[in-house]
This record gives sequence, structure tokens and C-alpha cells, in this order.
Amino acid sequence: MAKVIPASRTTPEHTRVNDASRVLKRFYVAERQVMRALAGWLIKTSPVEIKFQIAGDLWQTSRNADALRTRVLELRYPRRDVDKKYDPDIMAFTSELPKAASLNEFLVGVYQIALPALVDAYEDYLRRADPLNDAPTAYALRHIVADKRLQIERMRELALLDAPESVEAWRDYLRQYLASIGGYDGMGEKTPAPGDHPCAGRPAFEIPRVTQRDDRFRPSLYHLPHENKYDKAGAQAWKRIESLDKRVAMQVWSAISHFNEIWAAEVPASVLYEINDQPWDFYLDLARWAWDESRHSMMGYRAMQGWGWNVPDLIPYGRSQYLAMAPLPPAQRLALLYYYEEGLLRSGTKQTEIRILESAGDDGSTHDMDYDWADEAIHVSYGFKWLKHLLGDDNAGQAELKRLTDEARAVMADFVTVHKDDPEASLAPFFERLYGVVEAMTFEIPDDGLDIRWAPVVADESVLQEL
Amino acid sequence: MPVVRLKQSQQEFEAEPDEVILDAAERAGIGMVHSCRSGTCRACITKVLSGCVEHDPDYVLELNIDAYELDDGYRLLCSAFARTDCELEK
Repeated sequence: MAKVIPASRTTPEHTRVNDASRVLKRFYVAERQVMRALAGWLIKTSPVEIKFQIAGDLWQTSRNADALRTRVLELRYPRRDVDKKYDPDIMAFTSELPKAASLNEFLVGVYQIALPALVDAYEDYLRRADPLNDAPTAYALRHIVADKRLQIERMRELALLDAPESVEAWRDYLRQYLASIGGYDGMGEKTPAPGDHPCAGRPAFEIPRVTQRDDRFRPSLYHLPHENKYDKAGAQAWKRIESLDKRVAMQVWSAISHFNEIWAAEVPASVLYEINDQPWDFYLDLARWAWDESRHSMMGYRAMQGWGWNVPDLIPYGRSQYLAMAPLPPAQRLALLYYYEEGLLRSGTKQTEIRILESAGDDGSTHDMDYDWADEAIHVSYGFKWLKHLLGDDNAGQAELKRLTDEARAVMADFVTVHKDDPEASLAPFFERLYGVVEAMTFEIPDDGLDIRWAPVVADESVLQEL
Repeated sequence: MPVVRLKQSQQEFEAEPDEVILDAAERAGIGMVHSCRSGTCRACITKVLSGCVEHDPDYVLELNIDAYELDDGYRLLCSAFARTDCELEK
């Protein structure tokens, strides 16, 4: 016989370190998969406000996944396995989420099934976890739960999730599927997989090559005259706004340009989804990049709403960049986005724009551009790092980056030529309507004498010469 | 103190030994294209035409500049010190 003294306390089953790391790895994989689903549907979603929220939730989900992954590695989990050997049940369930047949289905699946179930799983974990021994996990999970609750609540307020039969069937299918794997932690009772369900067996989600804009807006390929050198009437209509004052033109330009930066969110989101074998930081950075560009789009939307404009009626909400770039391989899309952003910084365009907005006394637009400028510096750093990783950090990689960029610029220019007679390529009707609205808002301020010399950065150099 | 000359804009200014070139230019009232101030965004990358310009040794491994660019004489002015009088392409 051996001698002992009584245990000071008892602990719940399945809460030892190995149990915790196994369960938290499942949670990490689930978050990572939700992140991918959000990235895919960011492109497929057209209502502006919902698109903005998906972008924000995409970034938050990447941070949530990162916190869980970090904690998994603290719990004696082998570094070499953390981004491999994903639980097949979690992968199977979460791979269903992007297969939604409509936006309503997607929102119901993520915000009414997947996320609430994650919250339940995290709260269950917190109830069982030792608050002292596993305190770092508790800290992370409490913050993740707070994020998730807000995401669910905001989407509930934003999206009118009606429940026609098809959505109800999808909801039922996902519920059954999650139950069949024993929940996110795998500790629930497993039920038969819903293989015979009408929603089962849908094809895998693919990134759309065509993006649709919010149908409240008038259809438009472009948003500003520098994009389409063939649209002489559009350029002329814009010049009329510019004739009011170059400061006014910059105020309007920066707001329209910001709002239309949504394509620069769609590109990293599409790359995030389509390249699925990179180091974890790649996804963190691309999720941030996508969210930042969505924030810039929100900046423009907020500014124009602040001016009291009927934005959908007045403003072109273009999609040419995404349409032109979507057929390119993901690394080439990233290369072109990097080219644009580095060009903006190296040309000092952002600094010039801020000076003009300051000269206009437009605090809001100056503030927006100031933060945009800071964000773009981060993005260039991402592009520099990951394009080297994808293409090679040597002379051959450098040459490939140049080749991909040059080819992509040519593709963009060809797109403009091919669509030169497309009715959606004309911006004149927009700027003619906008002129009256802008002109009525102008008022005089003392001229600070700023010598305004400004040109946007574009892929087609001949456009710059004509502006 | 080393004197930094800018070829294209025909300006010059002095730089303290522990002052990065971007800061020295701004102290002299000369605006330069820049953004991150940490050597990562590449907005301030510039070719050194003459003189000795060194990157901050504390951060040299974190700078986003290629070896071939360094070999060609490029430096990130937000993270570089003028060690001698020098001329920059800007």
C-alpha cells in the first residue's frame, strides 16, 4: 500500500493539457475555416453594409484564430503539426458553410448556426476549464466570445434574414451536420451524418470571377476618369467639377475613390481563399489587408453620407478592377495590387492628397486620408514579404514579379479597350448629376495659395499624360 | 556634420550623426516622400549617388530592401544615417 493525503480538489474530465490542446486545435481550425468562408463571400456579397461587416468579421476571425493557434502551441502541441492534421470532422462541417446557395443562406449558416455554436462551445470550455491553470485560454476565449456575440448581433440588425423554405432547409442541414460530428469540441453525442439531406452534396465553393455591386446603385464599370482613357465625355464632366476648385475636386475624388477601394479588399480576400498552403501569417496579413481596404471604402461611404448625398443614386460604384483581375492567378492579382500600392506611396500621392484636403479645411476627409496613408504602408510591407515568399527571394523571383506585374497591367489596359463601347463605361451621367449637387454645396474660404499639382497613380501611363 | 545634397531638387541640408536623413530633411523644412518611418513601406527608397549612407544597424535586418538594391546604392532614408557628405538622387 502507498500513503497519500487527500486531493485538495477534483477537476473535470478532459481538461488536462493534452485534452485542452486537442480541443483548442479544433476551435482554431473552425475559426480558420470560417475566416476562409467569409473571405470567399466577401466577394460574392453585394449589399454594401453587409459586405462591410463581412470584411470586419473576416479580420476579427483571423485574430480569433490566431489567439487560439498561439494558445495551442503553448500547450505542448508540436509546432510542426499545428497547421497540419486538421480534424476531418471540423473540416467537413466548415467546408459546407461557403456552399450556401444565396447570401441569405450564407448569413444564416454563419451567423445563426456556425457562430452561435462556437460561442456555446467556448462557453462550455470556459465552464469546465480550471480558471487558474488554464487562465491564458480563458482570457483568450472571453475576448473571442465577446467578438462573436457582437458579430452575431450586428448582422442580426443589418440583415433581414427571412426564412423561406430553402433557407430553413440549409439551417436544418448545418444543424444536423454539426451534431453529427459531436459539436466543435467533438465531445457531444455523434448523430448520423445528414448525407441524404436535400442540401447535401453541393459542389465545393469557388471564388467568383464576376462580382456584382449593390443593386441600389446604377451599374458602372468605372468610378473615376483616370480608369478609362476612352471616356472623353466622362473626363470632360469631371473637369467641370474640377473647375469649381481643385480642392473641391479632391474632396469629391477622395470620397469616390475611397468608396470604390472595395475591389482592393476583394483581391486579397480572393487570394486568401485560393492559396491555401502558406504559413499562417500569410492569412493574418491578407485578412487585415482586406479589412483595411473595406475600411477605406467605408470612409468614402461615410463622407458622402455626411454630405447628405444619395450615394446609390449619385455615385459610380465600379467593378472593372475586379472583373479584369479575377481571371489572373492569385499571385498575379497580389502582384498588381502591390504594384498599385507601392506606386501610391513612392509617388507621394497620399501626402499630396492630404495637403490638398487640409487646404480645403476638410477635417473629415483629411483624417480619412491620413489613416488610409498609414494603412497602405502596412500593405506594401505585406506585399513585399509575401510576394517574395510566393515567387522566390532571389533574382528569378524578382524577374517573375516584374513579369507578372507587367502582364497584369497589360491585362488591365486590354480590359479598358475591350469595354470602351460598353454603356456602363460612361461616367458622364454620374458627374453631370453630381456637379449640381457639389456646386450647390460650395462656399468660399480664404485661399492659402497652395500650388495644387496632383495626379492619380494608374496602370496606363498614357492616361496620366492626358489628365 | 555631414551635408546631404539632393540632386533633382537642388537642395541641401545638414544631418546630425544620430539623425536619420528623413528627419534631418524635415528639420531643414524639406518635405520628402515617406510613410512608415520604419523602413518597411519603401516610400522613401532613394539612390545614393556619392558619399557613405548607412542603414540603422539596430534594424538593418528588418528593412524591406533587397540585396541587389543595396548593391545598386539604394537606401531607405527613414532608416539611414549620412556618415559623410553625400548626394542623393532625389
